Amino acid sequence: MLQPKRVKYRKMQRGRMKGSPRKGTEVSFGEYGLQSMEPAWITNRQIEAARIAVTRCIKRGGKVWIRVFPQKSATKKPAETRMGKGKGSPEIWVAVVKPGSMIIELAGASPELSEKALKLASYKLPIKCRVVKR
Amino acid sequence: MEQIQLKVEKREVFGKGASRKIRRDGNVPTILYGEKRDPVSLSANTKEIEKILSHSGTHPILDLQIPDVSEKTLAMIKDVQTTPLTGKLVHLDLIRISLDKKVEMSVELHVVNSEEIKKQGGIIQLLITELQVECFPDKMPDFIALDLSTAQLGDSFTIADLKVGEGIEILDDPEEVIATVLAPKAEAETTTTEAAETEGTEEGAEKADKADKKPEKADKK
Repeated sequence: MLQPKRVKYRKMQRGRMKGSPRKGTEVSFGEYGLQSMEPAWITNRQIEAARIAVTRCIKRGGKVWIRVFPQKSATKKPAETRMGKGKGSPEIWVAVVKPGSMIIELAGASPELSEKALKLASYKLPIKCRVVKR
Repeated sequence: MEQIQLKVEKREVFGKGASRKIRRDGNVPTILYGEKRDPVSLSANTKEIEKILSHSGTHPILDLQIPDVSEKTLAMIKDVQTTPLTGKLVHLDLIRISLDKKVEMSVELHVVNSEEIKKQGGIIQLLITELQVECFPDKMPDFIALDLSTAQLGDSFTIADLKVGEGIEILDDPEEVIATVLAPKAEAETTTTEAAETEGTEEGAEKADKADKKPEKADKK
């Protein structure tokens, strides 16, 4: 699964997800893309599940680009722990996605198959998405 | 090429708040520059601009009707900014042109006659989607076509392979690769690599989990 090779600081502040993305909003590599309609944290497991859904649907032929990378670590406190005693330990890696971000791109498959594959990928993600054409 | 008349107004107010008010009133903040003259801030009617963008090709010649300016001002659309989700117009860049002077623009690259190569299972990978083109404004093409009728699997195309009309010059490096036709992967190969990938990822995930757990212990100490 995707995760950074090395980070300077293990724990990050949560931040906010307001506004629209500065870049990465257009289909730049493939012919079809899956665009997010909502802001969210997308985990590396969800990205991997979406990627597998696309590659299994298109079987052979076609090329897939993952346009987001989980740069951010998210922490969790262990179960049945009282509040306090500092921040939890890093558990998951997430990509911060804003409305309009292109998540996956696809090329080389027929239009019907591309739309079907990206639709299946969208079911693996925690946000509303739409399929867009270059 | 036909010249489209566009009424614009000079803009005296600038900044985020003023621009938002202009957009609320049904106009779009616009700037006119080029030909070594000072830039002029304008505002144009959004509906008119949308109509021009949807019906008049990608590089229409605009005849700007600016109040208190008697001389004829011709311009072309250099850049259009839109919101990523709704596609609403945010800002427009216009460049001053003269019909007797060459102008530099970015033109889209389109793939044509690709049916045969797609039937063979080839994947067309475009490495560049826009080209910098220099020509007279009335000769500006809507797009530059990459003809794949004679292409074979594994071929790659450079800018020098493109056929453009007379008087049109592509400014990018002629040896730059613009597209490749990838051969399809064999089905057996794909499944094996996929299986290997999933195994790999699971192992990787386990390793990652272990790696994550290590620093926890360090924390506890």
